[in-house]
Amino acid sequence: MKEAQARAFREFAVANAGPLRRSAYLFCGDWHFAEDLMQASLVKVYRAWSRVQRQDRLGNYARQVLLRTWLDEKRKPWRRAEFSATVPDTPDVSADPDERAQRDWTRDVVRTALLAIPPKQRAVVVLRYFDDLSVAETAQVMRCSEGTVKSQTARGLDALRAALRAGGHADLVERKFAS
Amino acid sequence: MSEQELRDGLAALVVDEPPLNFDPDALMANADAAARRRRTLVGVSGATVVIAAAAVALPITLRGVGNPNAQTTPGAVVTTTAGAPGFVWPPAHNKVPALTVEQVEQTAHKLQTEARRAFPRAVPTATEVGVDLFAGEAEGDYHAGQLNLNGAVHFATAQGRAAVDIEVNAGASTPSPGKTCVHESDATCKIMPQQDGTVLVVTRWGQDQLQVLTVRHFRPDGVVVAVSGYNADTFLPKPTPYLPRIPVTEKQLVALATDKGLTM
Repeated sequence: MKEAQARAFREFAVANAGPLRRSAYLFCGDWHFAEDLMQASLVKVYRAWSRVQRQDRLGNYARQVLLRTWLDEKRKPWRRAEFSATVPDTPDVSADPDERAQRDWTRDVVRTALLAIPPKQRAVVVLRYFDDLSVAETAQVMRCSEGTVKSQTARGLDALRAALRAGGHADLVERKFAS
Repeated sequence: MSEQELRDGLAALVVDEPPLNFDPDALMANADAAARRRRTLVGVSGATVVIAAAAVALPITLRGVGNPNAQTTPGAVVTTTAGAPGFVWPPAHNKVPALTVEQVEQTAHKLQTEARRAFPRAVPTATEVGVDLFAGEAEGDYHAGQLNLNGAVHFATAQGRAAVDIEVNAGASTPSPGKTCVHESDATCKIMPQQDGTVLVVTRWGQDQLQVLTVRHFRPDGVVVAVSGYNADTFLPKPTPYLPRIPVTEKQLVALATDKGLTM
């Protein structure tokens, strides 16, 4: 790889490592696995760099690679078996106790519900509501039609509601998601 | 919960993210080193195929000299650790099915039925056989134009419980036999061209206590059936204990991988 290309990749990787790891964490629910997914995805982007660097939306290309990497890993049975919805206790001592309690409660509820829904629906929820991608961008990342994104989003939100209800959070479900 | 609360909830999930010690130069160096290792492996494989071909040719030649009536055993295989010489992938008659979502789901149900039929025939000692509904990359994953479906077979033997995974890939959507062995560089891998023009690739892999034996059948229509035997049922939410060895044989996995009913 030429030095200019290497420099461009280095800048891209530094700027995107954090966001990719956060998305990966929301996909899989484990920071160590998320780190592996981010690294593996960036290696794939690096290998394809000479072909892909002229793309307008490289960040979305990297998200696409991340999603495929995660789904591929999920196909491996030892990965399927290690899935866990256990919520770790990671208190933030610097925050206001009331604020912290409310935030932790919301976080734990959402995390448990998110990990309970099917992977592709989880992915679409993360891409739409965490990465703030449009329907068209999400379709590009998921390599599907915009109609599929809309239906998967609707199913994902339904599944999220069901998971919240199953977790005893019916009050949250009553306040419906905006369409 | 409003849409905003959902966004806030997702954002809150990553507030306690551990520090990121990311070194792009290390990542690039590792990627370059891995690429060099792959190239080296391909070079070694090229040398191995010459040696393997010579090793196979010599006994056949000697057999021909010693016994004029001797014939090559039907189904005899050439075992190498490199590509299959003369085998073209994607094949000339590659079929890329353009299935609708409904057709993919129908195929998934058909494969489940075929697996229920084929598995007890291939592994007659298995009991309590249960076959999952086939799906794509995740449970319930069906989409238009899908080229991959897989399903697990759960079963018991005298040794204990275990599972076999059956994966059907259409449209030559998997790497060639040679590349499969390169990708599985941490596994033992052998390529066995068959007299009917198909190719079998057998890989054996393990990590800690887990053992996986995979047989892939590369067919002329571009379908690859990959059947993996495990020494535990790792497809269950709570995996079963590891057995000392995989309770199905390579021959049994070959019988499944080459079953004509398992296709899409």
